[in-house]
Amino acid sequence: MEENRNINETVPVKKQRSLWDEAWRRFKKNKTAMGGLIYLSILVVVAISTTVIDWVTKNQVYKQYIIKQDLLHRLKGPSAQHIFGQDEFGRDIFLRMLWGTRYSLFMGALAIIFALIIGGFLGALAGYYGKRVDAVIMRAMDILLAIPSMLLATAIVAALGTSLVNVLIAIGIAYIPTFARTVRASVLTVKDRDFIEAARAIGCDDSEIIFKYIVMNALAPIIVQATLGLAGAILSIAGLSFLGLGIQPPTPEWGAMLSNARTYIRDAWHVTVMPGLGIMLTILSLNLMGDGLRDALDPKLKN
Amino acid sequence: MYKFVLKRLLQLIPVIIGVTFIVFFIMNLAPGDPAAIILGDQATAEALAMKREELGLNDPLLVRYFNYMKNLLRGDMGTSYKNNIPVWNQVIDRLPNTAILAVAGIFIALLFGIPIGILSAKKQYSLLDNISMVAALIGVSMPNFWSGLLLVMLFSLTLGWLPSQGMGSGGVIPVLRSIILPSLTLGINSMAMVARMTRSSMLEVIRQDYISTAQAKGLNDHVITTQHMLRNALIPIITAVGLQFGHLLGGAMLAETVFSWPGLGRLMVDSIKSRDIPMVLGCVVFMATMFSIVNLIVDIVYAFVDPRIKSMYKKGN
Amino acid sequence: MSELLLDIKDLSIIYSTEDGVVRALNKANLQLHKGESLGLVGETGAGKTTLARGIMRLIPNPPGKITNGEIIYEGKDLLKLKDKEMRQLRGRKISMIFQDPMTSLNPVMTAGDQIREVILTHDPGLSKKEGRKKAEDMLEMVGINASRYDDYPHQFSGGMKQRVVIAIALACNPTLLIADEPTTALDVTIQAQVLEMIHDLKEKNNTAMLLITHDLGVVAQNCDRVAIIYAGEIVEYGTLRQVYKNILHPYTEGLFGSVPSLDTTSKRLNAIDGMMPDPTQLPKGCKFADRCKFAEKRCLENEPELIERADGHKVRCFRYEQEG
Repeated sequence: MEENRNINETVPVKKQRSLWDEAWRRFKKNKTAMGGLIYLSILVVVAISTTVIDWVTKNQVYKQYIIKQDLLHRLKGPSAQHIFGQDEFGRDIFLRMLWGTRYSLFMGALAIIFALIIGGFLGALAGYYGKRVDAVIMRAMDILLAIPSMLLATAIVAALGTSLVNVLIAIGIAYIPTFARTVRASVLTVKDRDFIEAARAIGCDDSEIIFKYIVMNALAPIIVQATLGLAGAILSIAGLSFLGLGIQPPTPEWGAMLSNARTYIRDAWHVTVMPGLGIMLTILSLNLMGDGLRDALDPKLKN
Repeated sequence: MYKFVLKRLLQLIPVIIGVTFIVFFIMNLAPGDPAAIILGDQATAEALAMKREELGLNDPLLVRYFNYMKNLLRGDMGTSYKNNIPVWNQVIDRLPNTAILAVAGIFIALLFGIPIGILSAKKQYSLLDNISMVAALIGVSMPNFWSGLLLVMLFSLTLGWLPSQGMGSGGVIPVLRSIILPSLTLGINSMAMVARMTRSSMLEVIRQDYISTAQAKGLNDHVITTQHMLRNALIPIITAVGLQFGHLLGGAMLAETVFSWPGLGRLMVDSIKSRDIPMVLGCVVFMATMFSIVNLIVDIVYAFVDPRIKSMYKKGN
Repeated sequence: MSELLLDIKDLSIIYSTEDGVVRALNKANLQLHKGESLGLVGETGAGKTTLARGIMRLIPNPPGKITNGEIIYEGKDLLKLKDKEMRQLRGRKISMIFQDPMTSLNPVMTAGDQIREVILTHDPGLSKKEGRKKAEDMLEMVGINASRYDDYPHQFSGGMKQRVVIAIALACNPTLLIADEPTTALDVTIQAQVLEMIHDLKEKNNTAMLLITHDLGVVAQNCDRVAIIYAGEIVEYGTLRQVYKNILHPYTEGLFGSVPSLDTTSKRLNAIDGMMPDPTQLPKGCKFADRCKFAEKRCLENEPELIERADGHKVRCFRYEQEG
């Protein structure tokens, strides 16, 4: 009996592994998606190393180069010394963008993880138990979805006040319904497959089935959704900061940098163009990766 | 069909109640005493207490929500903390400006997005396809406030063709001129999204057996594209457009801020900054309701395009 | 023997995919006479549908491409026709019924309109009203009440949908009907009905038919001639009687061995061992060699030609070389 059970359990897992290998093989072939992945990896390295630098130097570098003003060289265009030029307070835009990477990347990721955990949990519950549980959860999600996500995030920040954590929560909440829906849909498609029946037949309990089988098998659409959701979350963070409702200056968040730049749009193009380019390239690489992942994980969809 | 529309209208009610409740609840989390915001720092303790009683702030949350909804049905959303003008009037004033922007944005998105998507799908992997899909991907990836600023730099500051701020007045032409850049700003993301959706939807349809049937009938390419492919490909696009409208309403806050456009979005941002809670509440409730109504319209259009859905409703399901 | 309608000579079709070039059809030869029915039998992936689509010139390109051969139809090579000329033949002279009736009809167009469309396309002089009348007649002809003209495909059952598809295919009285497994997707009871209907209609109009199937029983009931296709090659071709009574090719023998029979006493079916070769890496010699119990050295090295025996029965196998 014990032996039988082990055999049954290894079947989907083994299938899973080759599926991931296969997906990775397809993903590697996709040059644009790989480009996105490489660009993002560089960003992650930048975000981590700037954080480490700040930690090691006890914010000395940060104070000296990132927020210290140099009013004599306000709005100076790109030069060999300052490749992206200087902003309205004479600070180096390139360095500020490097230091700003962490806000977009880490806060976006945290918001998505928050949304994924709560939304995923709700979606799994709804999909697995169905009936009343499903109805209640999904109606609540419908209502949340009836509020455009940027609007919902703004409203939450408006109520809670503008702080890093509140922005994070606001954006996280706004993405809960998306993940709840994705997970629920995937759960519904795998729920009635034979190996779930088999797991039930050999006496796995509900939570074991949900996590070991359903979540594992629903992972592909979740990964794709999370990648695309991260792009959306980064855009929302930048948007909130641009409106002055997110991360506040002088913190070098990309959207906040653009918010200041607006005032000087007549005098200095680079102050507007550079931070925006940074956001765009990040979103672009996430979208490329998302597309690539979708094609790799679901080859049926590929043309 | 009437039954279906009526049913969908009725379904709208719980959604709107839910939305208002969530927003009302969130807004009540706001720290700070509204009475203090209205009366200012110099107010005495008694004056504050009286004001609180007047605003009904001493009642439990549910009672206050119930009162809010009761008043809402009479077109009363309270008065602004800032200027004492009824919220309803101010919101209604600004609503058409945002609606115009959103509709123009969607119009631009469909006008360019659908043909680009069709051409790309028909010439899959061609140069045209590659260029438009790269462009679409960039379009999806641009933060709209940034593309707005770039448009201003190009068309207002450099070329001097179009105004960069506010809404034109005195005739149709100035208004139209002033609407081009904000609606383009708002529409770029959606345009790119629609182009991508149209392409993938068309590619999906192109492989269907009924397209082979149509080809085997000896129909020419144009008829196959319009009568057989597009009509089927449009079905998922319609849903996407409904969702894009919500995206647009969220984006309106940003675009309106860039262009100082006197719409709901900007009103909301300004109200948040001055902690004018009833006003924020009013803006969110209105925009969310607008979004729900658009989705209702999308559902109805959907049913007209897809006979499978239509007959489902005819059966009274 | 009646006049030759369709003469396919050395037709080769390839698909370029990520995993390599799929040689789906390799120098296929096939003849079809006016008013006759030819059954094309083979396993999944043998190139049956490719051949059918090739005749219609509906090979999706890319990835597919016709690399070689001629398709002579009523004296003209279809492969040399202009696109417009080919379009005028499709649906009017040569019609095709696809495998799955569930997906063969446009879901957002009424069944009647889909029939009328083919009628009006090839007879532009007709008014919409006259077109509708003709389409309604077609519906009645395939046994569907004309009042259902305005119904959408999803309102029909599978068998009914296939009737609509047949009505579309026969609406312009074609001389050639290509039916690609027209009944595989249907219930067994419906299968017989639909096949009988196709048979009756084709007899009435003297339409020739290329019936693609993997069901030898269906062929026996409906066809005058049979062609057996394996790995993109025709391996045996002859009249129903020739092939059924005098099996020549080992593969055909295997096919018959895998059909359950009521009048033999064998205890088990003799399925053919092994699998069809990978179409991206076809073996050098006879494609069937590694599954063939008669395989010799030359079978692995040289490719056998299609040999015509005295009675017209053709086979692609070295075992019959001397006789030819």
